[in-house]
Amino acid sequence: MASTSTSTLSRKLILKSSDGEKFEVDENVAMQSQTIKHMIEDLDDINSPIPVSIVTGTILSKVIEYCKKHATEDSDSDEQLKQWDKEYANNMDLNTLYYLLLAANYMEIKGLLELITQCVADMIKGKSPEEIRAHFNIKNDFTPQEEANIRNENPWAFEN
Amino acid sequence: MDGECGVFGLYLLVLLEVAWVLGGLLCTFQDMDLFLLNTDISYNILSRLPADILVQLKMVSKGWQHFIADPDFMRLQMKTAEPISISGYFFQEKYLYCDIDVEKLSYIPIKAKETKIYQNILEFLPEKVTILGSSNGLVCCRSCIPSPDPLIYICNPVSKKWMTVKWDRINRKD
Repeated sequence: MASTSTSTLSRKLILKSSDGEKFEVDENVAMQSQTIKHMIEDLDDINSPIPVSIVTGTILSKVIEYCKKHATEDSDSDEQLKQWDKEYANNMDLNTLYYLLLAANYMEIKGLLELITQCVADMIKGKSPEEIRAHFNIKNDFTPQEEANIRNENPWAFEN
Repeated sequence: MDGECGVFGLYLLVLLEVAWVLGGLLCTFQDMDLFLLNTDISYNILSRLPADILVQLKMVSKGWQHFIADPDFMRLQMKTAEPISISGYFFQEKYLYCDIDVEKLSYIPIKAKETKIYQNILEFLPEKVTILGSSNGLVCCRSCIPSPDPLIYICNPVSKKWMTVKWDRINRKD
C-alpha cells in the first residue's frame, strides 16, 4: 500500500484545455481538483491527456499556478500562504476572475473557489448599488418609481 | 439500439458543452446581470455578505432583488455570512420615578455620511413600544405602559415582520 502511494505522488498527468493547450503537472497538484480526481479514477490510460473542456489555456495555467502553490503547503506558513493567495487574487482583472470562478466551480477546487468568491464579495462590499452597476456593467431595469419604493422601504439603510 | 442511444447521448453532451462554453464566453462580467446566471456561484458570493449590505443590493437590478429576497438564499446567508456589524443605535428615554413609558423612539444609523435621526422605524408595529434589546438584527420590545393588552414583540425592522409573545405580568420592571 505504501509503495503505491509514493508512486502516485510522483506520477505526471497531462491536462488539456478547451483550446488544446497541454499542461504537464504532478498528480498531487492535479488532484486538488475533485473533478480531475474522479476522472483519473475512471481512466485506463494515465498517459493520455485529461480534457478540462470548459477551461481555456490562459485560465488553466492560472488554476495550475494556484494548485502548485497549495500542493506544497509545508514550505510556507499559513500566514505566507494567505498573503500569496491575496496577491494572486488581486492581480486578476474582472474577466479573469469570472473565468477562474467558472473553472474552480467546474473543477471543484474548494480553496480556489473560496478565495475568488470572497474576493468578489469584498469587491461588492464597499460599493453603492450605482457603483456596482457601473463596475459589473449591470443594467438598471427599475423605473424611477420602483427604485424610490425600495428606497422608502428602509430609508435608513440607504444613507451611507 | 444501445449504441445509437450512446452516440446520441454523446452528441447531446457535446452540444451542451459547446453551449456552455459559448454561454461562458458571451456572459462575462461585462455584459451580464452578473453571476446571477450561474446560481451556484452567485449563492456562494452573495451569501458571504452581511444583511445590511444585501438590503442595499436589492437596488442593483430586479434580478438581484429577487435573488436576495429568495427564502432559500436567506437561509444559506444566515449560515454563512459574516456576523452583522452594528448599523445604528436606538435611543429612548424613560422616567425615573414614574411607571409611564416615553413613547418617543429614535434610531441613529452610524454608517450615514450625515447624522440623521429616524423616529418611525418601528411604526409598522400596531402600537407604541419600549425597546428591551436586540440581537442579530432582531429587536425585542414591549407595549408602552399603560396599555390595555400589553404584549412583547420580536420584530425585524428591515422586513417589517413581527411576532408577539404573551406577557402576563404588567410591570415595566420585568
